[in-house]
Amino acid sequence: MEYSELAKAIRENDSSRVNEMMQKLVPRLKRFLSIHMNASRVDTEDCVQETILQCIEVIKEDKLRDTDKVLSYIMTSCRNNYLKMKEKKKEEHYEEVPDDNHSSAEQLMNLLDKERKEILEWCLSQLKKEYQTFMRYWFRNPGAEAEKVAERFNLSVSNTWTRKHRLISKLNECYKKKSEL
Amino acid sequence: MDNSRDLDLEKQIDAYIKGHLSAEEAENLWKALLMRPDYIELLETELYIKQIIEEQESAGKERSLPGHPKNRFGKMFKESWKWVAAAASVAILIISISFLQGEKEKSLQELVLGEINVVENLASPEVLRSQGSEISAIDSLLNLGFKAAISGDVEKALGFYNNVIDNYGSSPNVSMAYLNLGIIQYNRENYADASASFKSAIQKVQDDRILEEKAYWYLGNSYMNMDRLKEGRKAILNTFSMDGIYRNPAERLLKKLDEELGITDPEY
Repeated sequence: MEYSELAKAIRENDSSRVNEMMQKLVPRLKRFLSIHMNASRVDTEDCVQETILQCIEVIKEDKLRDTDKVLSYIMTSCRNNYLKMKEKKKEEHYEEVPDDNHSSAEQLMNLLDKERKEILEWCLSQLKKEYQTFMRYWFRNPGAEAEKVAERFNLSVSNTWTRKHRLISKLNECYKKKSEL
Repeated sequence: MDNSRDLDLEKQIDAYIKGHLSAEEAENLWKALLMRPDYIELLETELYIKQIIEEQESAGKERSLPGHPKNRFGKMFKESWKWVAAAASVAILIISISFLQGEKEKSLQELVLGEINVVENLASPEVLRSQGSEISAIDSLLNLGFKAAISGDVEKALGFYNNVIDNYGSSPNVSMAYLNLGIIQYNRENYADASASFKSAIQKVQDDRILEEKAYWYLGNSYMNMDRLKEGRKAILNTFSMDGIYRNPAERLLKKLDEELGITDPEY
């Protein structure tokens, strides 16, 4: 998706093109907020809506002339809107604010969904033993460079990355198939 | 949509999941990801797989290692006569319900950190590869220390961190050296030195809330391991008040600690 195209469509009032592009953009922004900012589902919905409206307004008013910066603008606005929303909530309902926003890597796990986890656990168990060992080694040694993993599994570094990519893609496909059942 | 493989993006995702990206690098990664939703999906799947494997590994370890570092606190706990009765009841509880209990029901010694994961928790300076800027001497030493520590050469890492402390005492990043030194001392069960290092990290830190919070959390845990519960409580209360990544474990530990200390009207 070309974000400069989005700006063009907004300026030209091409509502069908804008809608089409927004349908692609919205889920991506939601994932950004939920994974990176650890935002709750409700906050994610509100914040993305607000960001989209803000973005349309800014582009329409021609305040964002450098179309190459549309993506940066959208992402920054999304993050700032979320942080403002969180601050506001804290002021209004200090005691009720859930501890749900940490952007550190350690907190990335907070988004995990039980059902998805169970399916992926099953998918992982269906991999060949050799591949399961590979994945375990990769995640058991988070500081290990790909070179070390390559050496351990007698692969080239490039093939190590390829194997990892294929396994993650395979697990992702497995999840998608199983979750549709 | 371009569905071709992007190896650089894959490497950045890997580093992001392992917590090795600076805030700016992570934002740049997300800019790239907003152009590649297929990789957002893979990132999510990878997060799940990492979590599943970590949980399986940790369940396996707990089963196979009865002498887990967590139990070190138990030994010291029992040395203090005033805790003997409590320790006995906690021990009975651990034996009977350890496999069934949730996080909330864990005993005090189980809530205290046994060992600090060096790879995930050592502080290192933010290096923005994209900027290609010249790295300062202190940052270079900290990076060398990090590399030595994660490669298992702890003595070498200590040398780099002590070098930073001796020669760059006025730099804000010296707090990283103190924190890392403390982590290594903690893992060697040298809690007295570790607590001194964490205190120095707190004194020296500037504009780095995560490091400050970590230092308070580890300081509190060091005191707990030394059976200095009141000082431990103070540091853990500071951690809790910072409302950051350790808020939940700090709260659990505080509640348990207050039960043990008979504090019925806590200030948090």
